[in-house]
Amino acid sequence: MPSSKLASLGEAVELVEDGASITISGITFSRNPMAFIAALVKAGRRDLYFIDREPGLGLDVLAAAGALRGVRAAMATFELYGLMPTLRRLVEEGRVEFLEDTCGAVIAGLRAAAYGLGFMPVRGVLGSQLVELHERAGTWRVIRDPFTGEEVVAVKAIEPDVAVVHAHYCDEYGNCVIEGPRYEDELKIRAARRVIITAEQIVESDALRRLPHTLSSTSVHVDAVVHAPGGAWPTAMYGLYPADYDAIREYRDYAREGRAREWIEGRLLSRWGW
Amino acid sequence: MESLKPRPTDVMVKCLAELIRDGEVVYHGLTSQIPVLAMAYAWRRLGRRFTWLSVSESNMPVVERVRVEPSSGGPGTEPLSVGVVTTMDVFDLAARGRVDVMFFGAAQIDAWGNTNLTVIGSYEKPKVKLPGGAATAFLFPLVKRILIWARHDRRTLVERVDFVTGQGRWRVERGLETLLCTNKALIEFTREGPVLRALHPGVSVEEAQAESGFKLLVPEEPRVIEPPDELGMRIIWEHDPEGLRYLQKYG
Repeated sequence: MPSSKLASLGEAVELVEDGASITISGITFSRNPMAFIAALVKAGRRDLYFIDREPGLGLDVLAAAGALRGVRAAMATFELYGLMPTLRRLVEEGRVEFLEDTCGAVIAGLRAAAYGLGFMPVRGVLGSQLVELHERAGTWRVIRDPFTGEEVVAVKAIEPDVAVVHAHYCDEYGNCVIEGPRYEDELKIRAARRVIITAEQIVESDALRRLPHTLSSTSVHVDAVVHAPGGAWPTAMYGLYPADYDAIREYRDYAREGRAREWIEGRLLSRWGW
Repeated sequence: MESLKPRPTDVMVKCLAELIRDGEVVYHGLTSQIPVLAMAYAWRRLGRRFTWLSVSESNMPVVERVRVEPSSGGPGTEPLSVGVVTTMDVFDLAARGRVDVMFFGAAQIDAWGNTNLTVIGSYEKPKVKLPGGAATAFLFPLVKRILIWARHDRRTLVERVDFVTGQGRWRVERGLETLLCTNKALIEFTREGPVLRALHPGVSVEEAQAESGFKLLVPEEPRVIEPPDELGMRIIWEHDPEGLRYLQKYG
């Protein structure tokens, strides 16, 4: 029998050390684990290395809180709301290092870690200048397929220290279900060293007995389970609530004026009793 | 109903829509409100039937219910999807040569169709840190037809991109279709060079050339892209009642 992993936000945040590499669930303005991000800001985490395919709001909030030393992402965007208001400036000022990746290669790197391998080859990519960046960083290498001789890019395993995933429901052991778009969250859960699930709802394990689908995470993957209803706000939660675009635009306007911190404290941290 | 008078953005929507063919597998990414509208236009106004996939992980949505939002990656844009088809799944299909059409933006694009979404200035000391290419570098070598949308001016259509995010030259040298719909014209990148295929109404060859940082080839008289008709405009407004498509300032 697995043990109960139920924890408060404050307890779970202790699993993330200063300097850790971290990946989060969702995409730009959907299913970001904003409650946990609030906890990271409250705890004053520093020097985190952020890894994701196509992050948005959660990433910029961490950047604005001064929590980041580096970012590796295929695209970091506020979509129609423009460039990342804070991260963009920090990268331009050389205060946060940015390693641009590409979607298929991020997936390949996470797959390598999840499959227990040191690297994963990926098609495409060759011919882009991204190859030079990653060969220099030691994250990719151009190799030959040992069977066909074809040139392919080998992506070194991406094994984040921590994955934080906001899910629809979860039992106390970490058996969780994400509904709607998964993005790479189920892969991140399998690739990371530690996994924190924040969930809209905590359910009895018995409620999952007749679940006809695969679990997004199992108790074996998960280190902490946090009950965080509304925990993706202001990003969207499939089937439960849409993105709060007014709040996101408000954040952007604050951040562009260099006042992101005010918004984070007044609007996000306050929501979680801080 | 807002004005039914088509603007250059609406002509771009139609230009992209006309490049989608029956039976194809079509995928769109983030910040892709204009491609989403092109897909809806192709489906509803042009009667094209294709497999609709998306970064929001929707599959075969009820097209009439598609509504653009500030994010094209969330669950709001394409409701009533047939289950969930992950991006991972679609990208694996692409790796096996089974994705036909993908749309990409570009902050800069050169005569080969090389695109830059990474940085203005140098990578180490960026003047502007752009959002990044997302799937650009991964998919450019893999997808049958790449449709790029961008602003038609000399800052965007450049002699040399500051960074090669999207390897247009790789595609063009292998004869893969690579097309650019701007707010003035339709350009196809070929081994011989960028060919001016069509113009927006009222735009001359001279104007399209003057606003391009590279030489356009004009082997034959470019056709005129007829703007969306009234029914077409009604469809576009139905899918974008707030006019979010105009926020990217293509006119």
